[in-house]
Amino acid sequence: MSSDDAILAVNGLGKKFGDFAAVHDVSFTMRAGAIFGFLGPNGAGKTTTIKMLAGLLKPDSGTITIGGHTMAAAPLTCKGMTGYIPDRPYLYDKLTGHEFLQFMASLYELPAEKFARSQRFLELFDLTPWQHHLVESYSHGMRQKLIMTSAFMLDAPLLVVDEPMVGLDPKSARLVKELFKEQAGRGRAIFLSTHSLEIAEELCDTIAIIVNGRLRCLGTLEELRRQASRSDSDLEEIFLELTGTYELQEVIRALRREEP
Amino acid sequence: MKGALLLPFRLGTRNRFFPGGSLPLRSIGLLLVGLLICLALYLISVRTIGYFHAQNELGIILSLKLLQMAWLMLFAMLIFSCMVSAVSALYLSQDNEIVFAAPVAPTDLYFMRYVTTTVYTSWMMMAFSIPVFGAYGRVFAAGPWFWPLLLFCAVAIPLSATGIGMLLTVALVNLFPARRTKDIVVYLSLCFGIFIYLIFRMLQP
Ligand SMILES: Nc1ncnc2c1ncn2[C@@H]1O[C@H](COP(=O)(O)OP(=O)(O)OP(=O)(O)O)[C@@H](O)[C@H]1O
Ligand SMILES: [Mg+2]
Repeated sequence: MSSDDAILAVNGLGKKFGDFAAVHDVSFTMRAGAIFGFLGPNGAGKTTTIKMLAGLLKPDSGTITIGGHTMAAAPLTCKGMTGYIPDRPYLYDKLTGHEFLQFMASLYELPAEKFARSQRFLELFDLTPWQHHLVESYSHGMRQKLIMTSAFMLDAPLLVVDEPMVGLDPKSARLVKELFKEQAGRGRAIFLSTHSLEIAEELCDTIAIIVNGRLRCLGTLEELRRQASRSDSDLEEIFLELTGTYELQEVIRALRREEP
Repeated sequence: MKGALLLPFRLGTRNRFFPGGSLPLRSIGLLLVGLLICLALYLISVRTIGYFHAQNELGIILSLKLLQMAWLMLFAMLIFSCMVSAVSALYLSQDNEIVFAAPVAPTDLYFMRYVTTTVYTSWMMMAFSIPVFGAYGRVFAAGPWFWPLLLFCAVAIPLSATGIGMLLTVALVNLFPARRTKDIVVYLSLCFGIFIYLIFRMLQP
């Protein structure tokens, strides 16, 4: 893959909190139309990496290049090309759903005809009847779907999502997966972190596993299988093997034995 | 761009007091209570200042000194309350995440925090101090320019107080990083100490 057609190129990315290296020397590239799955145990550094991609945290080392612009030199251009869905999104309680979308659209200077597309996503997410109600009356899942709508509406070349499926009902989760595929089919690149190995297996063409801030492995599912030398295993077993938690199986077995 | 950033503030305030474009009983009640308090403050002030004014020269001087002190107190209190709320507005706002991820220039962000902090910290103090200063105008039979100038000051004072307060906050936070809440608490008590000191200094006319 040449770095010219890469929508996102990350090189030697590192971030320290005090003496603790939360992310260390992470490098990868993503081309348009790709879905990149970012896996790892709790506290591995996924959210920290994503915050650096979204321009919220300043990396201590390394570069982030989005669509040919570096984050350090042209942060506004990079941010304008990136849609971002945080893991714990904040929404303004005293705005209606529609007003929130308006706000996001004006922040990204979205033209009116693109803003009109938000109606389609609201419709798909069953939020149309709620769009003129205050966000304070929304459930957790509805909030999640509203912020998804705002991100899809932006139609940015790169979409960065931190744990997209938390709190969604099965129907919405299915829908979000289909929308991710559709967006990727239209040439949008999607970077998502997830704990759901099933999602990663189904959606992502490239999977990276990060452990203790370092990339443990990176590649297609096939390549990961080869690395874990488990040719027929599913992603869960590969994940457990590569994150060094395979001995967990022993623990589980022991626990089961102890049950009366 | 600047207008866009203020959208949640504008619409949020509107939705709070006029939900769905209507004027509910709650908002009317709030407005009435506010007006009543203003009126009461005005009447009490007119009586008190009128009493001083009716005494000999000393009374007049005393009431004028009181006026000076009132403005100084107001200004100092505005700076202090702005510094307290500026820490949370600038560094701990929950909407920082989505606003920072958007292509927004830092100057626009500062401007938005500046305007909202000014309104949040000063609207109540200004609303309740205007009747007091109005009473001075009435008792001293101020000329026609007093009233527009009073309104002008009621806007200019909070704006400059917030400007100074936020500048101090940013400088202090850069000196002592407000990374942990503990630091912020320490910082707040520091603020309060400075505030008390300033008050004592200024109360000696
Ligand atoms: N602001 C911070 N200050 C200090 N340490 C932090 C900070 N943010 C994150 N960390 C540390 O960095 C490490 C990585 O955290 P991060 O949130 O990136 O994990 P994660 O991979 O997203 O985990 P999870 O799967 O639980 O969401 C953790 O050990 C965490 O304690
Ligand atoms: Mg996380």
